Amino acid sequence: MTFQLGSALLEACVLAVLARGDAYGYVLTQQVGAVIEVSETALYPVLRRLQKDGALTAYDQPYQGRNRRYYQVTQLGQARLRQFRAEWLSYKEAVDSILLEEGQKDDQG
Amino acid sequence: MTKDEFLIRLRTLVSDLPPEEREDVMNYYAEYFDDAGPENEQQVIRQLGSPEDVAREALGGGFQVRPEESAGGRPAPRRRGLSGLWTAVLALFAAPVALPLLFAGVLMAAAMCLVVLCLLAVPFIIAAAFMASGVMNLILAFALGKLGFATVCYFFGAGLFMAAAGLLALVFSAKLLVWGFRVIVDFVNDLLHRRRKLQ
Repeated sequence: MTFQLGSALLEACVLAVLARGDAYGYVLTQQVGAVIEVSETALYPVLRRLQKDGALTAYDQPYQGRNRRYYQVTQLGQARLRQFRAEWLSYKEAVDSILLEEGQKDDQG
Repeated sequence: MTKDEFLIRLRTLVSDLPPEEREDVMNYYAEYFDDAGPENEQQVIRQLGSPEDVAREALGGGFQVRPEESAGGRPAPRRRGLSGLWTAVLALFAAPVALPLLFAGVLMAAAMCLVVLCLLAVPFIIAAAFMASGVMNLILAFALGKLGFATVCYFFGAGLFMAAAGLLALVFSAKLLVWGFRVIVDFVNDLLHRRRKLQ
């Protein structure tokens, strides 16, 4: 895997996955990791940062005698996700225009 | 490494954090192991890497210790600087004994280098002596020419021989010098590296 998800892109992906449904840390890591290579330790700081910024809230649900912490996207988080999506589309377009361009332009210099 | 060893180690590594943040990290990863299930314990450990990796990400990846949280003179956020501070304190207390010892060590190293250098000088001196006496003999060969052809031959031959021997010795001692310097440099480097390793 040549390309690595930067932390901003990882935040976006985490928000997107959580927007589809609340999830807890382990399953969230599996879901993101299933699609794109991600370091398992990278998710914790991202979740932490999103919480701090108010994009996520966390709540505990009892499970098999212990607590399981679920993360949920807030209104602010939804707005942030929309912003991420718009930025991603323009970013993707920019990279495509360079990367997918065939043929060399002649050097006029 | 077992899950418990992993988590114990992790707890130590994040112990500098304020209690709330620390519990947060520990809860997250304890839960992570639980959710993965005991059958996946080793796989999780493999995926997470080392407790150090986890701690590094957790400490560096988004912890902003607000100024009011760092009450009690706790050092500025994010640096696990306590181990560095501890080293400094220990060094300060050890100084009265350590410094003189260090000084003695340095002196001894210098003395040994001096000895080696002197030993290396010996062949040079021998070479110089030979060459000098060779030249002397050649001069004598011409000066004492009136004593006869045989005499001239003798001194001339002796002079050439000594000069040649001296040149050979010079070459030899030059090579010895290069080798000797390398030994000294390696020795000093070794000393420095050993000290650094102790830190």
